[in-house]
Amino acid sequence: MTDSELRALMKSDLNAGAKELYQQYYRYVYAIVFRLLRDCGTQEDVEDCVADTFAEILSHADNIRGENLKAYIGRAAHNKALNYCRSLNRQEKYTTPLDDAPEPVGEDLESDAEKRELKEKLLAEIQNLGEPDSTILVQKFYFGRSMAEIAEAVGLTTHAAQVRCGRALKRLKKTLKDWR
Amino acid sequence: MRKKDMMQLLGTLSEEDAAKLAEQHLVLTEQEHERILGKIEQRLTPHTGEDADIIESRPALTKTTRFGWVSHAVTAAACVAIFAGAFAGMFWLNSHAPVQPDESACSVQTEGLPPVVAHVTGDRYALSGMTKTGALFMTVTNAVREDDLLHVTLTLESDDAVFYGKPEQLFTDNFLADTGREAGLTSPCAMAYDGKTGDLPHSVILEAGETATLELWYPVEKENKTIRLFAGTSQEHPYTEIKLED
Repeated sequence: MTDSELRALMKSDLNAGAKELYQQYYRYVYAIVFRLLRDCGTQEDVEDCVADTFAEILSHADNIRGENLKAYIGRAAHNKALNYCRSLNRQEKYTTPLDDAPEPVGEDLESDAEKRELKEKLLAEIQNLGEPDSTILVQKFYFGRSMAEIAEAVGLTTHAAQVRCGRALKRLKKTLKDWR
Repeated sequence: MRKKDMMQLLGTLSEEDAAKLAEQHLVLTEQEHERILGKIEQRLTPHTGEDADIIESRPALTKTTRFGWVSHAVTAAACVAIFAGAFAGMFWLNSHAPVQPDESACSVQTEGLPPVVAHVTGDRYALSGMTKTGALFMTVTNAVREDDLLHVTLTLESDDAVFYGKPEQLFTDNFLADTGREAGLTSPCAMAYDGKTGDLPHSVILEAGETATLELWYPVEKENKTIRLFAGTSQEHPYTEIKLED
């Protein structure tokens, strides 16, 4: 569905428009919110923030007339998540804005360029693992989900998902070791 | 590569890479989808209360308010006006038996929603939404600039027991501010109820004569000189104007 069709649907039938909006953009919103809240919030905070974002977009659907929908949604998710993060960190009133926060430093000191290269290589090799292994690894090591949740999401038993995860990790380590 | 290193590297993804990763690999379970959709629906659906009254609509009375202060002190006392209007999509309905509105009562009708009464009593303004009895009164008692934050203090009073079922909606979806920081209204980035941060109470219950304090913090840009604090979720609701002076 195009942006204009989606806008028209939200205007004519809010329920159907809400479902379609969620269907098209939940991954995008979840990704933005999760990236900002992963270190300061819980799973429930992420879900609450995602829900708040969609509710706000739907409440102000008229405001996005003419504007790029994805950009508007991205901005709304980003701002909501930042506010959530500030609220969760409210013990320290003058918190460092997240965009200005220093990059975490690993135990092994590496140059920025090497780190960036490694990151790109890692992402590419995760893709090369194929499905469902790449999804299992991302769900586990980026989204921090339990194996039971991952298994249910990809349609495997918990044991099977665990075994696939272990094997995928071994292959990934070997590939990256060979590359280095 | 150790698992820890991998998690650390993945944790520093840019927004663009994170979005790509999620679009390709985020899979939520059915329960998670239902939970999120349920929460969206909850936030969009007004709640029907018991013992509610139909209030006659009248145009809102407005009394703009001015705060002036230097950066570290309040220099001018001001009358405060907060109007409670109808809170689009986020507040509770009054219905059933009609009541006799008194002369100080006023209400603002929001499209599709029955009105919520605001009682003007001197410099206190009252909101009566989902109340069992009586009314909840609010007064802005302080507003001060703290670097890039505007810190607003509201005192809540009741002339009878008041119950609100969803205080997080009362707190986060009302009193939005136009701080100039972003186009549209800004939600508070932090709040405290009775001086406590952390988990907000599940309800606001104030017996007759009891008071509580609600503090809200809004982000502002240093160059903004005027902030509007809206009693509602859009700029169509009555507002208090707060002027900032160096």
